[in-house]
Amino acid sequence: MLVIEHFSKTYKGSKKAVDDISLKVEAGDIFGFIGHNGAGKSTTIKAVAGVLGFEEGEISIHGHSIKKDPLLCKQEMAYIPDNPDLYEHLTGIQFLNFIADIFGISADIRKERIKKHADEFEITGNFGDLISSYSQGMKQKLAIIGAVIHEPKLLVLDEPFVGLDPKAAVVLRGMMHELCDAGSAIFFSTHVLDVAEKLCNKVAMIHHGKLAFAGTMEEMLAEKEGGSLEDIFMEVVNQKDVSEN
Amino acid sequence: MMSSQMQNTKQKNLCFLLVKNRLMAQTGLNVFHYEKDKRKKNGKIAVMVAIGMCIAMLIGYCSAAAYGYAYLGLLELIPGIAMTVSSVIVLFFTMFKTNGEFFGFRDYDMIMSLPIPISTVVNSRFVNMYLWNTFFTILVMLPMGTIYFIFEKVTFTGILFWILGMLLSPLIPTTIAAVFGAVITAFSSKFRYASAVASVLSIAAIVGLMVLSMSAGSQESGLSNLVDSKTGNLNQEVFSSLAPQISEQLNRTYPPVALFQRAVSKGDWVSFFLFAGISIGWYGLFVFLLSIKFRQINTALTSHQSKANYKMEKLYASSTLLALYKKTIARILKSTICATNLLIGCVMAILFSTAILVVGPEKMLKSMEMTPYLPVVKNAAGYVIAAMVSMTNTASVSLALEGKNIWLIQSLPIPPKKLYDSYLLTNLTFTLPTSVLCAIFFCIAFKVDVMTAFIIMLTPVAFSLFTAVMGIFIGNRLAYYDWQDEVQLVKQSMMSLFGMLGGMVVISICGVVANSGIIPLQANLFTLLLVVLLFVLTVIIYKHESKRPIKE
Repeated sequence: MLVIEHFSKTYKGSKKAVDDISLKVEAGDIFGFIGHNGAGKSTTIKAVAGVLGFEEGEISIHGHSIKKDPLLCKQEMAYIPDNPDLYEHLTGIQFLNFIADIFGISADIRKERIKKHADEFEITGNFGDLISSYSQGMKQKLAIIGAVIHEPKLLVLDEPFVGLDPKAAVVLRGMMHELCDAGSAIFFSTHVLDVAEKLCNKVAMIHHGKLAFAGTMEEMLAEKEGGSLEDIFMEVVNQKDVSEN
Repeated sequence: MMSSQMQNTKQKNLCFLLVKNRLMAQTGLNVFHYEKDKRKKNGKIAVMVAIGMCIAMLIGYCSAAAYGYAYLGLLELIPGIAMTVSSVIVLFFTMFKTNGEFFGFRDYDMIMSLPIPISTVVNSRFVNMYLWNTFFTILVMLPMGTIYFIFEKVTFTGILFWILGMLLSPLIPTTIAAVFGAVITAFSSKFRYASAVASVLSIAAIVGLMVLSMSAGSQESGLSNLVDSKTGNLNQEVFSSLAPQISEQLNRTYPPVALFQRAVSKGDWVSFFLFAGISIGWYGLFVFLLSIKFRQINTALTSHQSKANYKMEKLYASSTLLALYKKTIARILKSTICATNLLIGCVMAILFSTAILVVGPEKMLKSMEMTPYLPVVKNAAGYVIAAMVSMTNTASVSLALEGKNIWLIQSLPIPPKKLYDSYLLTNLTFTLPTSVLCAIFFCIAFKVDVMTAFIIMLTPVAFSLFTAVMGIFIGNRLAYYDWQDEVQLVKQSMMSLFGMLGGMVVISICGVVANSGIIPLQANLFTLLLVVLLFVLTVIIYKHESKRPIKE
């Protein structure tokens, strides 16, 4: 579904933010992307979403190159950044209608999907209000509904659980499982290692722009018997920092 | 220990800190110092060079105007005119800025959470506007003052009052503009659609101001008698009687001018202190009164009514282009800053053509003391409409207006051509109907023949299409998304400068060339050829830009 091959990104005037990363996310995967602040998670995710251009490496979605066929790739996927800025001059329902129009979803289907997810998130009543009046959590819920409205084959999320209340986080986890059961894949970054451990079947760990580990959750946990994902993460971070010093 | 350390540290002036912080954001000083991306840095340098050129032109124009007055023996008018011109510039440039300056600004929550008195916050916002306005005032008054003192006897008090006058004169227009903004915002904050109400009120107020200034200026000043209509020579007698007449008119329109003029020319301390007292008093009163209501107005603006009673009803699907178009048009109309600044050209065009139709072209031109130019205005009608309408160029800033929402456009499957088409359609929604309507009004008012009517109609339409496409061209090259507030983008960016004024300059040049007889072609024929050329250029630029990827 998502193949990242030797992807590197250097911002002008600085060192490599991401250095030679290769990953593969398959249909049905819930793939967690873990790393400290500034490790290169958001850079990678933005490049996958087609928001950030890059020169080195290749990223393909469902067999299409994000560089050569960005529109085809974007038709197949959805992306939510951390702290998403939405059109504040629109109401919630106007925003969702806008997204549905871009993906060419018929009126009946969009209504059915919006209603289902909005009721789950208990946000339907707020759809007539301007987005500028929404709390951060409500904006996050709206962005999630907008992202799944076309039932994407690949869902790319940057810190999706930030700002969500516990109930909404449970709803989101349910949605992620539902999508994967239907054959989609999810690639998301998180700081919450507990969530990653419970939710993901595959993980990748990035440290200072380089991939420290990529594989199944079982493989990762097997590397340190009896340890948690948090222990492994701390060990990777400390080892790398010591070797770099 | 900690508190004693804090007590020993000298507290910096809070107002100074707030103003400094805001100026750093507005001038982009940190970009010069710390930005590593050369493209961004070069962009800033290019903006500075362009601004420098505009400043040089303004200084040159003011010096030449002052020299002209001195040469014609109207020296005593210079102080009054210098102050009036700078005050008008300050008033018009500040008027649409006050909304974003005092209310609903981005860092409101953060600033208000700090231990800073509200009056200091209000004062810092005012001082920021004042500093910018003083800068513009100096650009106008310094060259005019220099010329004035070259021709007039130099006195210490005269120069002192002129220098102090440059620092004091922005206070009154800034305060008037701020009061104007505060009243409109306070009133509109009571409504659910506050920004729409504010937009309508702002446009209505600016139209009112323009009508007032036109009616004030329409009184016979004798300017039309300056040139002998038979010989074409300057009439010396009229000149000698003109100065007191204009001076009286200026004083009537803006009374502080009289005080400043008397202070400078006669070294009158009482007039100067009166002028200074009124200026500072106005400012103090405004800061005091706004400090009382500041939090209340901002709270009303930021705490939206949340009904939370929406029920899913029938939804309607539309095409990608229509979805983008609806979003873009809502973006412009729902922002007071955008609506008032970007649509003013169309509003002016409609007002002017309505006035021509209702009052009649002869009376209208007579009131503007331009009766001999009736045939020229008739021939150039299409260009006059086009020049005004072209000031509405939403296409040049539409892409940049995406701002922090650009991630949505970049991550959704939107072909760039569709996005640009939506910006074009938005632009043309305002400019095309305005062009046609104004052309119809002009044709009826001037009672033109069919061919001329066709040309009058075609000219603004062709320029509307051309300037809209040029707007896309400008936006695709100059757009940036990390702006702090809309004012910065809509009023102070190169995009809006080129978009709003570029078209006007090109159209004016074409109008002059067509009607001045420089080219040995009949005006209508020249215009027709120009229209064909514009259509061809429009198509070429449109096709070229449609292939361009969305700017990162």
